Order: sequence, then structure tokens, then C-alpha cells
Amino acid sequence: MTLVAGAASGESMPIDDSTAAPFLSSSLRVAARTSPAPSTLGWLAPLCLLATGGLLLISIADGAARSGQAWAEPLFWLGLLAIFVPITGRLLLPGPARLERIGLIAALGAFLYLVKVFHSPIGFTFHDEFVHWRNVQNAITSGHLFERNPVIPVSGDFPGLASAAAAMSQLAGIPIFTAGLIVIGVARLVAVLAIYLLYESVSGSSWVAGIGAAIYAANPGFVFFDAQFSYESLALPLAAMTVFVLARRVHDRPQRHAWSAVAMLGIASVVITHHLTSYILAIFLTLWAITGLYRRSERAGEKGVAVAALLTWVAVVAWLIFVASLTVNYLFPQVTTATKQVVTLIAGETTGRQLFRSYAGNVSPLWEQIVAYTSTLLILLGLPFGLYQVWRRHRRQAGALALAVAAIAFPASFPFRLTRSGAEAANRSTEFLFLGIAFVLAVGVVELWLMGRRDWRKPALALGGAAIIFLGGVILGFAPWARLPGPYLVSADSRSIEPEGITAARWASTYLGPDNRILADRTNVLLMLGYGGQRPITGYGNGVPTYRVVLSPTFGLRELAVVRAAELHYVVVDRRLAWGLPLTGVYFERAEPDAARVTFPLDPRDFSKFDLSTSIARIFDSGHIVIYDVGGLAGAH
Amino acid sequence: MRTRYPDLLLVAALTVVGAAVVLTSVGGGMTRVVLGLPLALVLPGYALTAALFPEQGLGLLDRLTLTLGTSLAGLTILGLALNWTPWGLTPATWTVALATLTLAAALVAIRRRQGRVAEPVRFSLGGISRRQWATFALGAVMLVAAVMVDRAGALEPRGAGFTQLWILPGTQPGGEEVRIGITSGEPSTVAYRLELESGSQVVRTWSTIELAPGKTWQATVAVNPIRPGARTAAVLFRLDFPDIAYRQVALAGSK
Repeated sequence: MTLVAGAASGESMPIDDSTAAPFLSSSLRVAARTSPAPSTLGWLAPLCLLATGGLLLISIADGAARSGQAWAEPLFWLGLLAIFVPITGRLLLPGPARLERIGLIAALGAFLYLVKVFHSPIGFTFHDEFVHWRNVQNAITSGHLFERNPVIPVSGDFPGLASAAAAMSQLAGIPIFTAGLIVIGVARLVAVLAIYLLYESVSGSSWVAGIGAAIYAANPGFVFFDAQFSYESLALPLAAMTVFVLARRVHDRPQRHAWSAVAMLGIASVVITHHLTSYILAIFLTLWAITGLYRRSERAGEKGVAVAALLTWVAVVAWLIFVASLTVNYLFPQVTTATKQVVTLIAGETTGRQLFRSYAGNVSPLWEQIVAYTSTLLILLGLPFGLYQVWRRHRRQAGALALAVAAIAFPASFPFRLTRSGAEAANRSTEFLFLGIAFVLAVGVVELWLMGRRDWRKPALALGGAAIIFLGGVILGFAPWARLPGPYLVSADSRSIEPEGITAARWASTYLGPDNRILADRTNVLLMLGYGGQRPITGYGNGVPTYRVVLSPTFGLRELAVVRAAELHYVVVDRRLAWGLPLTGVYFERAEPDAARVTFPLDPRDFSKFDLSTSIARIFDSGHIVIYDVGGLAGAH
Repeated sequence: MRTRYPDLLLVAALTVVGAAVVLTSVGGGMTRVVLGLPLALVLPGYALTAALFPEQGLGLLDRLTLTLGTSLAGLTILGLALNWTPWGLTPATWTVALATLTLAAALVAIRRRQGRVAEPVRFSLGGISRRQWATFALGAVMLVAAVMVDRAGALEPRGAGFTQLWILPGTQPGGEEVRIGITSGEPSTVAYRLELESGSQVVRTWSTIELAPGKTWQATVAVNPIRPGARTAAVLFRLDFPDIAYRQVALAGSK
């Protein structure tokens, strides 16, 4: 790699010609560097083989974890490292050709997606997956979108995922689960390719792009959260594609109208698919447009970014006002509560939540804490160098500056991690912030660290750092009990989905018919929603504190009033709730008393109160799960 | 004569055949999967990309990303459009809409390519040696093995097992019939005894009901209440623990 004259002033860009995309060599002034490769795919095949070996280890680990074997966890980590380390190690080297880097990035994205698929290979198990499964069911059954979802009502107002999955299922005649896996798998491929292309377009280097895309895969949401069947998992790749398209538009004036058309399609699809992603996209494009103005760029393409930002805001606001007004009630309280908690924390009025401690009181192993802290520290240490280099070499690119600003926002999310309400939001923000973080770190690593005299120790150290950031991401992104499948745990989302609950929900679908108003705990709500086709009634979705009926030690007038107000027909009682504290912090929903502060498990005797009333029928009993018919109480049916 | 747009002709052909298969269900499930998936995920995006970018210069990676990305984005928008039609989202409306969109985009792409000197789109992964093919093949075999290991682990029954017992009123409104059922989710065959009670008095007994794992036993029974308003209940016992009520269900008493 050599730099053209004047690069230090930020007026030129470094690029390795041999590996760059054709458009770059024609649109940017670059200097050449030879990189002979015996084959354009280089080490792709053996590294894919190694990664497949990692996946095999993970499949064995998943199987062992289902039987409760303690050795499953080290095997899982070993499998993850076998996927990430060889591929990233190769990407850190200057030699691979562009096609090999692309292949490696696509393979990394696909293999890490399969880690999630292997976690739940025969059905949905993640909380949000059941919600979206029901949305697709509704779309297929009724032929129409926008049906209100009983558990997350706002999800029905963003029907992009339901639309895409329904199309797949209806056209190919495959189950929704399979259609969902394919849609999210393809979206994952689009995401990693678009991120690679974005970084390449902005930095002018496939080396930077490859490393940046690999570091992006280390964000906390990549392995599990953004691989689930959920609207963000589709919207984020579409947003990444939109940003890449706009970046490419800047350099390709002859075809700018074509790029604009794709960008418009991308923006429209993001707006109708996911609220938060569309807002982040609007903010990012605005940031990009502002940095473009500040730089007084002569590129006509930067003006297009401003237009795109404006159109995104118009689309977002119009969708919010005319279609998805529920979003305000969904997101606004979370933001205000989290902000208030941060303010009180800073003012010293409260103490922060204890990190690495679950709601049930379990503390993460020490090594996990050390790795997670080290990963954050490495990012914080690396950012200033990367930012310096972005400013020095890439400040002419408004897109690079916008990514740098996104990276700077990362430390601002830390105080939120210390609050109860803000922790989840801070965690979820990283998949967006990592777009900037990964780019800045990659620029810093390549241009300040790896470039110049060849020394094997430099890429080895960088690989060590990348591996720690990756492990830290997985640790921070998903609770220890959720990373692997395993025996039943109380109110633990994927770990609470097991055959007894599934067959109870299927029984409800067969013998009770669909769409009955039903009360159940957090886990059985999901099962009754997805497998059972029932209509769960919750405080959040319906405004009636139905959870009181089960949590109360007695069944009195107050509980009767709730049954009547909610027009409940059935109550599902899962006696296993008394086995321990809820891992997610709640037995039913966030509004319940002591949510996220539960210190004593439920008293199993409280469940028998339904058996004392002759007006309540105990119609189903599978040992742990009992279903009561309370329709006779209220004259509701 | 060599055509300058073999890719677009292939897209059009696959679209027509795929649409025909989905609409007529000819060829069975696997044919529909093989042709239906590209109809949603690949062909519309490819044709759209070709129509928008007739010039040479869009590389394989860009074309792949735009093909998949615009296909996905197109599905979200098209679903919205279909939602607002009286026919809604059905296999037929999806097929017609996607086929029309794809064929129209392919036609535009052909027209736009005709007036240009641009070379046809070429796909090449460069030279892949036999050794690399062999390594990929080995990787594919290992991947299949990993999938099979994982699925087998997920499908393997674990835990102590469970038995479902239920009771529901008969289908005749106001009648005295009840429906009772047992489904075994136990790991092995279990023998049960079922007692039907009215007002705490046993009115009928099934002394042995043997159920293999996954099997169901059901009965519809007429019950004469022992006294007006008496509750009808069913109690299930396992024959290996005959004195412990294993499952209990009951209908609400009438007033």
C-alpha cells in the first residue's frame, strides 16, 4: 500500500488497487500495490472448512447443553472461535484478493447466523419470534396486514417482515418457520455484503472493508439478537444496503438516478419494517448530510444524501402519524424512563444496577466479566487512533465522518447500561453504533498498525484484540443462560420453551378453537400466541392488569373484577413459576409488582385458589400446566 | 446468433415457469420450493437491478447485494400494495404481482441494453482449483453432518415426560355429555386408570388404558349428575402408582 501525495492533508485516499472494486479505481485517485494471488479465492475453501468444524463443535455443544452437560459451554466458545478467528486472521493480512475477502465476509456472516439457527433448529424459541410468527399467521389467514398483535401491538404496524415471510411461505408452500429462517438468512447475507461495500466505498480499501465487516460481526447483537426472526433483523440489512447505495451514488455520477431509485426503495422498506431502525437511518443520513455541508463537498452525490435524509424523515413522520401512532406509547416511555434513571444516577440519588448479575441473582463467571470489560476497553482505546486516522486521511468523505460521529456516540451509551430501563436500550444501540465503531477501528488498525513493514506480530496482536472484542460482544449481547439451549428455566424465554408448554398450546388450538381471550405467564403467552392461535390479554396490550389474577394469593372480588374487565375466557397456570426467580425479571410483564426486583419465588399454594371455586372449570392438566375455564364467572361469553 | 441478454431471458423463463408451478401446483412440493423461492427472493431483484443498471461496471458483488436486497425490499413494498387490494395476500396475488414486476423489469432491461455498447453481464468466480472444490465439498459434508447432529439433539425426547388429561362439555348444548381425553407425552408406554366422578362419587371407571408415547385416548360419556348442580370431574392414576392421583380435571358445577 502506498499513499498518493497530499494524503496527509486529507485530500487523497489510500487504496490497494489490486483488491479494490472497479468503480473505485476509476473514481478515486489511487496508487497501486501489487498483490499476486495464485487463486482469486485464496484460502477461502480451507477457512470455510475450519469454520464448518467450528459449527460442528457448536452442534455438539448444543446437544450436550440440552442434556445439561457442563462441558457444553467451553465447547460452544471453542466453536465460536473456530469460526471467527481463522477468517478474521486471514482478513487482517494484506495479501487476500478482493473476491477472497468478500467470500470470507459472506462465510463469516452465514456461519455466525447458523449458530443461532443451531440454537433453535426445529421451531421459534426467542421471545420476539413468536410475536412475528403470529403476524405472519395473521397475514396468511386473513390475507391482510396490520392486524393488531396482542403481545406487541406496535409490531403489527410495521408489516415489512410479515409481508416478506408470508410471500416466501405462500409462494414456496413452506412452513412459516422455514420461510423465516430463509428471509433472515438472506437478509444477513445482504447485511454483511452491504457493510463490506459501504466500508470499501468510503475507505477505498478492501482491506479496511474486510476487517471492518469482521469487527461489525463482533457487535453484541450479531450472533443472536439480529439473527432472530424479528423486524429489526430484516430492517437493519435493508438500512445497511440503503447507506451503501447512497455511498456508491456519491462516486458514480453517471448512474446516480439508478442508485437513487434503489435508495428510495430501501428507505421505504426500512420505514415500513422497523421503527427504531428507520429513526436511526434518518438520524444517520442527516448526520451524513450535515458533515457533507460542513466539508462543503463538491461531490453532487452528497447533496443526494441530504435529499435522502429529508425523504426518510418525511416517510418516518408520515408513517408514525398515519399508520403507527402506537409507536409513541411503545418507545417514548422507555426513552424517558431510561433518561430519568440516568439523570438520577448522575445526581447520586440512586445507585446503578449491578452489572453481570441476572434478575434471578446469578452472577456471570469472572472470566466473562474480564473479557467483556477488556473488549469495551479495547474499543475505547482503539477509537481515538481510528478517529485520528479518519480525520487525517478520509475527512474528505462525508460518509466516513458520519461513521466516525456514530462511533463517538458509543461511550455515551455507558451510563444507560447502569440503569434498569436503559440497559436493554444501550445494548440494542450497539448494533447501530458498531457501524461506525467497526469502520473507525478498521481504519486505525489497517492504516496505523498493519501497514508498512511486514511483521507477523502485528496482525497476531490485532487478531487477539478482535477475538476479545468478538467474545465480549457475545457475552454482553446474550445472557449466559440464553446462549445455549438447555433444561427448563423459569421465565427465561428460549429456555422456557419445551414440549409440555408447546403441546398444551396445541391442545388449546385443537380443542378450544382459535382466538380465545386467555391469560398466561410470559412464556405461555408466547406459546398460546404462536402454537395455540389464542388471543393473550395483557396489561401492556389491553390495559387490564390481568397478571393480578394469578399472582394474587386469593381469588376475590378484585380478581373477579379483572376477569370481567378483561373478558377472560381461559387462565393458564404454569406451576413451574414457583420453581425460582424469573430470569427475565418478570413472571408476566413489566407492569407487575416487583418487576425486575423479584426476591422471592411465587408460592405454589397461590395457584390452587382456582380449584376452590366451583364456578371455575379445571379443563386441562398436564402436570405442570393447568388450564382453567373462567368464562362462566363473568358472563363474558 | 448470440444474444446479448441471455441472463434476462433466463430470468423471464424462470419467472414464467415458477409462476405456472405456483399457480397450478404442478410438480409437487419440492418443485414449488425450488421455483417459488427464486420467484420471491432472486428474480425480481435481478431484473430490477438489470433495468436500473444497464451499463457495465456493476460487479458481481454489487449485483448480488442489490439482487437480494431489492428483492427483499420489493417484497415488503409489494405486500403493502397487495394489502390494499380487495384480493389481499394470497399465493395467486403474490405470483401475479411478482411475475408482472419481474417480466416488466426484464423487458425494460432488455430495451435499455439494446441501445448500448455495453458487454453482457458476466459471472465469474475466477479459477477454482480441484483442490478447492474438494475442500468446499468436504465442508458441505461437514455442514450437513453438523445440521444432522444438531437436529437429532433437538428432537431427542428429554426430561421426565408428561401426560395430558382434559375434560370438556359435550358438543350438544345443554346436554349431559362430557368429552374426556388423555394424551401421553411419557418416554415409554404407560398404563392408566381413569375415574369419572359426579359430586365426588365415582360414576365410571376405565381400569386400564395403555398409551404409547404420543398416543391419545378420548371418549364422550353421558353423565347423570348424582345431584343437581354436582361437579363432574375426572381423575387419572398411573397403574405403577395406583394410589396417587396423577392428573385431575373438573367441569364447573351448574347452579
